[in-house]
Amino acid sequence: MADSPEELQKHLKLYWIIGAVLFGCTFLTVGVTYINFGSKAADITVGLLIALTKALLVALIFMHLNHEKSLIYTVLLYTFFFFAGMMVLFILALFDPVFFPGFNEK
Amino acid sequence: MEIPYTVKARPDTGLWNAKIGIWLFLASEVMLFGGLFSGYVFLRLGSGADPNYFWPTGSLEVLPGMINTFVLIASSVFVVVAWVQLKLRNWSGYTFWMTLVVLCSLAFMGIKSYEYYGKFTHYGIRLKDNSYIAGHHIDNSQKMAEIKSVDLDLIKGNLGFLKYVSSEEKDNLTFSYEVKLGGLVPGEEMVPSTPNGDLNETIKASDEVNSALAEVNQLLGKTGAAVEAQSGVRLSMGVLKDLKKGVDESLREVHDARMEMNEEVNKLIREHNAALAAAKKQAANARQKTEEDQKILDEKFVTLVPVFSWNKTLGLGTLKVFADNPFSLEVPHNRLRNATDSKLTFADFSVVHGTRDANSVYLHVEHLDKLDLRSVAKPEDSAVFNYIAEKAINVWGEDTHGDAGNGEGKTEYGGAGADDGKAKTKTTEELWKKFDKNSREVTKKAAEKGKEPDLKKKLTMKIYKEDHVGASIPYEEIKIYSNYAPKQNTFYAIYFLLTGLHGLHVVAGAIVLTYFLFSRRLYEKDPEHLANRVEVGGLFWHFVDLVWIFLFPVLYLM
Amino acid sequence: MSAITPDETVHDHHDDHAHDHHHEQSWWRTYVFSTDHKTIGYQYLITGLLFLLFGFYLMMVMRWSIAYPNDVLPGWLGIFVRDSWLAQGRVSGDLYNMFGAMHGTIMVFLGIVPVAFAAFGNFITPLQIGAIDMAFPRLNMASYWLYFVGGVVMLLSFFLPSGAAETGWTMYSPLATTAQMDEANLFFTGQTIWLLGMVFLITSSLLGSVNFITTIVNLRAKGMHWFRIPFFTWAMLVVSFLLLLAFPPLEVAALMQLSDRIFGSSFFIPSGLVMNGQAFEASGGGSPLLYQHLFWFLAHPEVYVLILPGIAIVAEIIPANIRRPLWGYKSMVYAVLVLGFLAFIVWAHHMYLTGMGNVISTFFQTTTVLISVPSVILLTCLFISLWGGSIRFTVPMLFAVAFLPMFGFGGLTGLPLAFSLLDLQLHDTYYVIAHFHYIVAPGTIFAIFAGVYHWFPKATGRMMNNTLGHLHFWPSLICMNGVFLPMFWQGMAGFHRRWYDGGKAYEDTITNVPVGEPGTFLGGLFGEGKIFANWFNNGETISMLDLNAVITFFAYALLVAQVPFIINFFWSMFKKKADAPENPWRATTLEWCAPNRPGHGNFLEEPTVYRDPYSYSIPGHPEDFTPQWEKGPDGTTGAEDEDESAESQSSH
Repeated sequence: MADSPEELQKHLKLYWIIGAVLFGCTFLTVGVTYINFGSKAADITVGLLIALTKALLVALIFMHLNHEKSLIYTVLLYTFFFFAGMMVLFILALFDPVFFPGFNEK
Repeated sequence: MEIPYTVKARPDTGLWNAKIGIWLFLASEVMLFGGLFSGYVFLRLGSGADPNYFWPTGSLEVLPGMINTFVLIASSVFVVVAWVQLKLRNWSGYTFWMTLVVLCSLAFMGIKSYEYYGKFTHYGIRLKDNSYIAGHHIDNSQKMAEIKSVDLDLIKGNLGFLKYVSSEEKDNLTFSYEVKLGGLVPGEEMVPSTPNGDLNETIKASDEVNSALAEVNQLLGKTGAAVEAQSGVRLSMGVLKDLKKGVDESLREVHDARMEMNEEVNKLIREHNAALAAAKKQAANARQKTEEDQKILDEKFVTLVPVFSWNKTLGLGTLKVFADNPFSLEVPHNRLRNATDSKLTFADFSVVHGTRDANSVYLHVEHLDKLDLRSVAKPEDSAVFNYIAEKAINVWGEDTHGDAGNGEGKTEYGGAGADDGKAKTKTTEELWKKFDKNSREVTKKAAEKGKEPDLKKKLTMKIYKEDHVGASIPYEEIKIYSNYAPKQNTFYAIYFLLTGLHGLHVVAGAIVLTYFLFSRRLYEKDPEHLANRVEVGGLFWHFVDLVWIFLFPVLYLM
Repeated sequence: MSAITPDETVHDHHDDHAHDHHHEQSWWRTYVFSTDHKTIGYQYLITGLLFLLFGFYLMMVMRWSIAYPNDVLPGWLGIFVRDSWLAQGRVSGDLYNMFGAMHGTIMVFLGIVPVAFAAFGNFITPLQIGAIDMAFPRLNMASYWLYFVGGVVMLLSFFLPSGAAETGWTMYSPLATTAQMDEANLFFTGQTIWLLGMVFLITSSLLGSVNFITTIVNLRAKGMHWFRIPFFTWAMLVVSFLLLLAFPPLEVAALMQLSDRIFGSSFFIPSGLVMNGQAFEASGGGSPLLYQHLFWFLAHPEVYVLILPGIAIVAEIIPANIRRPLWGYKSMVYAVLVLGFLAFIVWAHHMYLTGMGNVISTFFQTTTVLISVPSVILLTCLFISLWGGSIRFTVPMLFAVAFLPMFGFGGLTGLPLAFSLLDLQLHDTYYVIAHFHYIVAPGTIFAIFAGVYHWFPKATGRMMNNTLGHLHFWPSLICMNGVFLPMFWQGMAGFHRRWYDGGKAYEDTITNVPVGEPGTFLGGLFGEGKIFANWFNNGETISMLDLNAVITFFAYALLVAQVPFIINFFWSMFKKKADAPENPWRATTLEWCAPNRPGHGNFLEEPTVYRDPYSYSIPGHPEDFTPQWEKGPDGTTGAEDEDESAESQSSH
């Protein structure tokens, strides 16, 4: 953590650049909603991918996850695994009913 | 005593305490918002299976959401810059950027409040046949005149109706009243049922029991009727409390007498059971069992039975008040549980008897901006067409009209397709024709491609706000109406829950970061400690930003 | 104070301010708003035990209704019961539901978890790893007081006009959403206040678990490598993770249900819901299943929160009383980690009856059966430890040894419930009740008693009385089994847990069957003229229905069996002579090197760890135990290795 002033100045520059990229991505997110990618599912996927990129930038650069201690990676890894498990299993359970009248695509 | 590793990192883990703490906290937050997002996905996918329900995709105004995204991203940059300034030991630079962060959070909350306000003043109405219209400015007042009597409940102490009486009338509003005891049933279940009648006879023959019964029934006769009747009373909680006290005393008296009575009967039953048990034992031990013995052995024990029936709510007293002079009141329909022409039932269960204004049968809504027949079984018969006030409304269109509806930017309410995008005047009959024509076109096109027609999109339309179209719909026809609050549908429910919880995080983060602005003393003592704190606060702030990065497309765009 | 590298500059800074903290603290700061982990542990213990007692009382009222549905509730049981809750002086269905719901809530969230996890965890964890306090002492205090407020909120809900919540501790929607809707003020109803109380409790456990993990990770003493941490602390680490990551979804569920109740939203209200013959006024479009998913995502890991501290306490007591190392310490650590991991993906085995399809049922069935593997590893290690040990049957050891088969009963009877097919039959019967009560009542609660007897000398400087301990243990053991064993039989006969009359309504049809056929063991035990029949049924054969009275008898007797404990606890605490040595059990873990009634800062001098946690009966050592803090010539790696292992750890 003993960052030297020169290094910090370098980081500062990076933060501003990432900020600008995030601004750009936000325009992009809104922009792509005007484009039809073939199906609703594809539209949603594209939108989420852009959001994911933005989120990764924030997490890696602003939250310094690009160089963090192993303990924190471990905690986050498990957290995301459980989060993913929750979401996926909820959805699987929803789509695997014993009896459910017609599932319309929406 | 000082806890180690609050400022310096522990060598083997490479971390100081608060940094572990905040990351664990954020992990928990991931699961919190993860649970909400899972709920969102679950509800949205589940809505597909529900023919009475649809997910109102893209019905939020995009621009404020986008501005808020920019505000949060900017603040996220500022907070990390402020942290660098602190690392460089530049106090004034730190305060400058941190102040900007706090200002950003205020801006975010301001824009959010604007959005919320818009939702609260916009109403959606779903009819019993699932047609749906939306508009602004509803009039849902229920006017009732000639009110002569009100039913109250002493336990609930429900005087909510008084709030809706106009102040002039309230000043000289006096009542007479009548209290009835409830929860009591005369002693008709006096005697327990037994397999053979012996015990019944015994109990009936008991003089003590009979005299107690007479006593109790006498009490009941006294209290079953009105206990008091006066006039010229101003209703208040104090009056109700006094009345309840009186009622409670009478009831206690009845109750005690009954319990005493109960004891008597049960004593007899216990004696009977004890005698039977002894006889059984003797019979069981008898070497040669006689018929008599067998009869005793077969006999069942009598279970103890409380002989008086007693309603669940002890001391339920109803209070009927009669107005000395008839009065009137006006109350919003959604404050009521039930409304008919002769009585209004309030949320607190008071019932007002009078004559309802004829106009109160209808819910009046102005500035209609949306009509949606997607969930209606037969759109051409939709009840909506009967109630739209003006016989002519401007037609809906593709999104070429500058001021789209309530300003909702791009929507996929593609509409019944105004050909040139200019407003035209149509009657409601024509309106349906347009729908019909469009749906037939879609069916034809789909048939050419060999697909199932997707009529759903064509059965929604936008009505332009400037046209001031209104409708009066009888409450009887309405399934549910509400402003765009959680009650409106599950989309708005989860919208408010997600953004509300996120907003609370913004407020909490802003408070903490503001506190760090005034931490000059800590800075002078140990700047690294403050830098650590700001880093922790910053991590939280970035997380709040990160959640919004997902919230924005998920709620506003998809 | 206990910086590992003494040349760090941070040290100077601390010394400047050290003297600030040595002044006398006011009474309030010492006993009420204390930040000392030990005091907070005591606070949790006392509050939690009181809640356990209250939860027990609620159960007694329910058991009265089950055993004697036609009899008026006796006055001594009715102290907390409002007249209006009774039906003709008898327990009404509503009252049974209310007390049932609150019994579950109070026992789980306000009783067991605070005592087993928060109280023991707070008191022992920092001592065991050689820390002077928790990492965030003030958060620790906030955590206790949030718990306290949550508990008070739950208790106050009994005094509302509606009474407390009454839809089971699971609060399933839409039942819970639509219950108690006839109140004038929807906010002040038991159902709503329950949700509010839960929000407090969730926040409390969030703060607690962050604190525990940070403490264990960052405040270990010099030389306390990961695999020198006693098993108890490992279990605390896993439990903290369970609480940290599993509770938030319940918070989501609580907020959604709150919104449904107060703002009229429809998160859990399906379209077209009809109540009392009327269409329910709501937009619809919600899903009751969503609630169950969110709820059980917490509530299954919560089961392991209930039992792991129990296993952990027992795992500390057994090695100290068998004078040999814990068998398979490392396997146990790995098992508990795997258990913590699997606990997150088994939840839907509570939901087989909701109409889940075969694919997803099979998935959860598989994970559920898998999770029994680490549980069995834990139990087996503890059993094998006993083999060949020179066992001392001290009072804590009695409870610990009784824990093993009791937990085994509870655990093994859970296996049939893991299979979706069998669960259809057994779901919501007394079989389930018996299964999980065997785990928490003679399981965790016995472990709690064991822990109290074991660490009492450290906390008070006084030994607890041995005779009273035996008087407490033996009747408790008999009564616990008298209560829960018959429930298995009843459950398999189809008795439903929500029958407030205990099945009396079906007396002539299905419930009035003999417990066992004549000639069998059970038939002999409960047949005509035998001891139970004479006591409970005027000498007649005992039927399944009559077992209700037997169970109720043992339940009430269980309360009486706790009297010696209560006397022992207070009498020992206040007796004049501080008769406990610093290490009365001659145990090896670090808490025994602190002075009795440890002061602020715990240790007289900073402890250093030289060896594994359970070094008993090491050949060549003069004593049969070698404490972790004892420097020895016997080749154990010393604290110097710390830096090496630290580097290797941070590098990957």
